[in-house]
Amino acid sequence: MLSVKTMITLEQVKHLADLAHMELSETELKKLQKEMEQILDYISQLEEVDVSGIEPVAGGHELENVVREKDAAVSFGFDENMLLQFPEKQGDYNKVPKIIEK
Amino acid sequence: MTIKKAAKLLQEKQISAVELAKAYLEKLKQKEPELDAFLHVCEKQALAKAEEVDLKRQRREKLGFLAGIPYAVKDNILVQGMQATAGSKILEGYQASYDATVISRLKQADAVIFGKTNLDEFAMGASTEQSAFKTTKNPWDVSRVPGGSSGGSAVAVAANMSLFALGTDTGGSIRQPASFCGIVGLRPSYGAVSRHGIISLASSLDQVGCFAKTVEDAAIVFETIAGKDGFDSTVSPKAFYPGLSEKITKTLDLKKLKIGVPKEFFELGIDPDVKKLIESSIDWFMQAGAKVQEISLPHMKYSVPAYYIILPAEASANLARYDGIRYPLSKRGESDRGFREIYFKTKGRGFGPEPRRRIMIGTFCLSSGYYDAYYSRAQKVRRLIKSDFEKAFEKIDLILGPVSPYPAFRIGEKINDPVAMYLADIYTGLVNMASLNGLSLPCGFVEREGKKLPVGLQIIGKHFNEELVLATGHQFERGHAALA
Repeated sequence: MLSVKTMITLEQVKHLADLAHMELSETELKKLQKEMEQILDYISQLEEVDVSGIEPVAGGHELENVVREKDAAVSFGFDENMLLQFPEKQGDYNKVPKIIEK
Repeated sequence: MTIKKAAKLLQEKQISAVELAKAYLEKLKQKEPELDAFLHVCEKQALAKAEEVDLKRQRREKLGFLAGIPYAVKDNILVQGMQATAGSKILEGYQASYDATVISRLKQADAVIFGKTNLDEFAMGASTEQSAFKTTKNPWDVSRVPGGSSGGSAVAVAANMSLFALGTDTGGSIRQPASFCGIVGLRPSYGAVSRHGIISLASSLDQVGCFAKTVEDAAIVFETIAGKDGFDSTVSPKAFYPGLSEKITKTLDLKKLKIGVPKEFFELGIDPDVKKLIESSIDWFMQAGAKVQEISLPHMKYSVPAYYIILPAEASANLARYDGIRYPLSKRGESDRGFREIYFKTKGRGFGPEPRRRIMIGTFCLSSGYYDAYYSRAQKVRRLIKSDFEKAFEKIDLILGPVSPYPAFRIGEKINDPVAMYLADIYTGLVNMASLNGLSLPCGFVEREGKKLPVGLQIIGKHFNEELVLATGHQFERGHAALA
């Protein structure tokens, strides 16, 4: 855990913005750096807690895995609304940029 | 006016659904310009549904109990054909392609939807100031916040622009606005209501719930929307509440009730006037014969920091989908450098300050080298919080306490201090962390600068034990009000 006065460098902030796929200006990144330091400082309190031997919990209560019956798939059908949402379309298809370069 | 009263008037044909809808729409038009609770009002649709209800009644066709009752929906819940912005620019222009389960159930019950309400962006916030579109005002004092993130829905009910409203509660976003606006707010147990069609914030913490004028009204709505639907596998088979709204009105023997008050609740900074109201509410239960004892939730003070690791982590994953490919907002640069550019520019321009902060914190906590120290640790603390409650509930049936350490704060007061805003969740977040249910109901007023501000009492119950929570709340509502 990072200790008392939690420092995060601008480089780290840029790296995280990169991981999160967010393009931010230098000003915005600097602002985030300050805010993140405040927040990280606050959440670092958890360092005090003795968690030895404690299993993490993902949340929920008595959750059981649910398995669908074979061939029980529900089709949502095609809603015209969905087409309206695509930023770019071609016929019934969502037109997207190329991912694989030759 | 309540759902119960309105339903009776409609059933007895003393008023038509159209007349009721028009009366409420009139109030909406009067109040909305000042309060800004709605992002979208669907007047035509509302009147058409009301007409349909009247016609069905004329033809003696079967009608749902909520037939003709006007309601509002937080804009992170999908209503087919209507906008669903989640209070964000990144979903501007998006029209829902299907109904959330809660909406299809309310449609089946013949309720009348009035529109979509304002919220903090992606339900991240405690004041509704962080909507990308506008700030909603508290009807008790328009210079103050209504609470958040479901502020719009709370105001819709508090200002009589709807008879009930839907919200979501991930860390207190129903209970806290209910407290600030003087109405009833129910956050059901995790797994009680389907999240199908709810725009996800944090999948292990989110739950849909409702706002209403009375506990009985909240029970009626909850009964209608709860239970398995075949779409959300986290809904429990235990979430089965037939006849709940009637059951909770039967008089409870309060002498048999064991209530716990966590000592940690009053060790934190709480406004002294709020404290007095909570204490006198607990006193009411003691006078009524309930067995009140002090309990301990030793890890309570770690619930908000742990929450602000888990929520951002889950949110960073849930918000990754708004990448400019599937939803209308899609930013491209001058030169088309491919899909990565679309992702980066769309998210950079589309997300507001709070989602940005939380996505960044979440990304940090999940990143290699920090995952164990932050996310994993937070999940272990979560288990400790959960077991604190389990131990407590071995001795008691319900927990009483405050909803918020203070009444509604001023607009602008906390907006520049993210951590100060997070601390608003001090009494509510731990309930979500333990996947429990919580009810907020009015217990009095404090005075601030000549204005009366409402304060809510919180009742926390065991998993899927909403019946006891609502029955207790109903009794308090009746008995306590009699003293006012």
